[in-house]
Amino acid sequence: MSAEAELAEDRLAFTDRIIGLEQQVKELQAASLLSPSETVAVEANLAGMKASPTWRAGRVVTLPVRVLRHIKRRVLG
Amino acid sequence: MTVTDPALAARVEAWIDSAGHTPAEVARIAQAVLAAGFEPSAVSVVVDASALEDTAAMIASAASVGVRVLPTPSELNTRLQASTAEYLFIVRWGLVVGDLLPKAVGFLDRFPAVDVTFGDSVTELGHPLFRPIFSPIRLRSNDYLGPVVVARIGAIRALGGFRDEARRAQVLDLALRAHVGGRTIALVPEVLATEDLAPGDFAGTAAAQASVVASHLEGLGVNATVEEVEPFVRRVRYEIVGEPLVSIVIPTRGGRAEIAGADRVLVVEAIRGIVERSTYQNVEFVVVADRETPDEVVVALEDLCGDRLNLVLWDAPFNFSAKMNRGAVAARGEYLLLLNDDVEVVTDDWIETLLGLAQQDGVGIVGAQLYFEDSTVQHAGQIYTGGVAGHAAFGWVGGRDDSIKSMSTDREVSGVTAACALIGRELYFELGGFTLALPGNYNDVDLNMKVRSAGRSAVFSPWARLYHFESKSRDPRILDSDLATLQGRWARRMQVELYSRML
Repeated sequence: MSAEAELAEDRLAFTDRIIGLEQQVKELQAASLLSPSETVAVEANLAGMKASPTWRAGRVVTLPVRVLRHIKRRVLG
Repeated sequence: MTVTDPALAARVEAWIDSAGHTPAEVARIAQAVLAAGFEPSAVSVVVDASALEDTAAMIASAASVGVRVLPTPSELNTRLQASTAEYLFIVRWGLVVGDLLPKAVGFLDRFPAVDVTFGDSVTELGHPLFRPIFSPIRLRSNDYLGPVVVARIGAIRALGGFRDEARRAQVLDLALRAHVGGRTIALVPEVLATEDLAPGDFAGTAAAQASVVASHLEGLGVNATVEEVEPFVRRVRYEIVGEPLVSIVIPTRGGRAEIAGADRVLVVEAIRGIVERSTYQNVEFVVVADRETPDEVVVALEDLCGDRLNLVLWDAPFNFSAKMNRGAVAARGEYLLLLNDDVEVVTDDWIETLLGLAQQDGVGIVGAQLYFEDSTVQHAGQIYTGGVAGHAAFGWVGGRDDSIKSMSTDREVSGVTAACALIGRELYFELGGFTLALPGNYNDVDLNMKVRSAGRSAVFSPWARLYHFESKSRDPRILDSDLATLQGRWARRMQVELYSRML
């Protein structure tokens, strides 16, 4: 393998690493990365999930834990 | 029928296309529009004398529900200029839902950059008809925008209004021109209508659409032929610009497998099929071969390919991404055709099909329709949802399609498999090729996401077909680390699939 080819492979890897890091940062930013259609679809999915019996049952089951957490936060600050 | 929100009603106008409908159907459509909250004075029945058997009956029908008549094409632009509304609702068929206005106007108010919008619908029996997000390549093959299209009247005026030449296909024409003019077209992913009154082909509508697409392509300077596959579904055959060298990059270990009862050396038979069947000739074969590849396989490849063989040695542990990158570095072609060694060509013009699409503005990567050995569908585009990837139409029997002809149209997808994908070499290098962080799985998903984040699209073509004997040559296990790497980069943008919603 020639030095030139090795360099080209390294350049590919570096470029990918930079793009990958940029995208990881974007993933961590608060700003929405979604298009208008995606935003509405995700909101609808979320609303559907929160309206589901599974979600509601989960809220009931976890109620004591959530209440205790709330009290802990209020007491301990 | 009452206007429940006068302020909202003052901002909207509706035009109902009467072609293909009976006067009674148009009256029902108009009643549904009025029930949705439109002012009767802002509702028009568009009457095309050339598309109707009895114009007088249609005019009487409009009068019976108290809406106006708008002769086309002569009066459309006059009315457009006179309108004081903000949004024009074009109702092409079906019955609009009662909450059409809050859904559509709410969407356009919330996203001021969007100029044109369309939505989902349901059949009379309540089956959903989901539409993809705006897909300009797909629009050339099929006007999938559905029964209701809404546009800002200011945007339509800025585009020069409706063109008389586009008669019977003016909505498609408007959408194509809006896209070329840099306007944003977006899907409202909500049901806007029921489709119990969808007309078939009428008054030369399918021919008018084909003509509009041909005119659109001509305007872009794209040489192509538009062929009818069935009414309203077209195949656009793009003429290849120049005769670019295509480097077919195939990683291999020179392995054997039993296919259809016959023992075969995968890479040799894959390349034999390409050499014997492909009509596109300007190709080189960049075979990235592991050190353990048997000598007789190398000899067979040399015999098959002659001076078109570019054999590259791989002598490190397995890493699909690195092997493909090595092949890309060695490739001399303007385009890279990434290919697994366990494939067999079905359509002779597969390279022309992929290349023609790859040469279109905005297209980044193009994939083919792949079949398993038993002729069920292995790949018709990837679907990304919940941060993971899968395949659209996976396991479908050949010939099956959905209601919006997703298996008969070139169309934008979330991604395409690298088992067969064409990408410009320059773009591949701009994007850093395949990531070495994903040596076995999901590297193609990452590549597609990089393509799309660079503002290009991934396109699937059902007209380029191959068999893919997957899993006969590859370990399909997904590692948790692969998933974590992929999601670290793209999880938030892989939550909801809006391209292949019917598959």
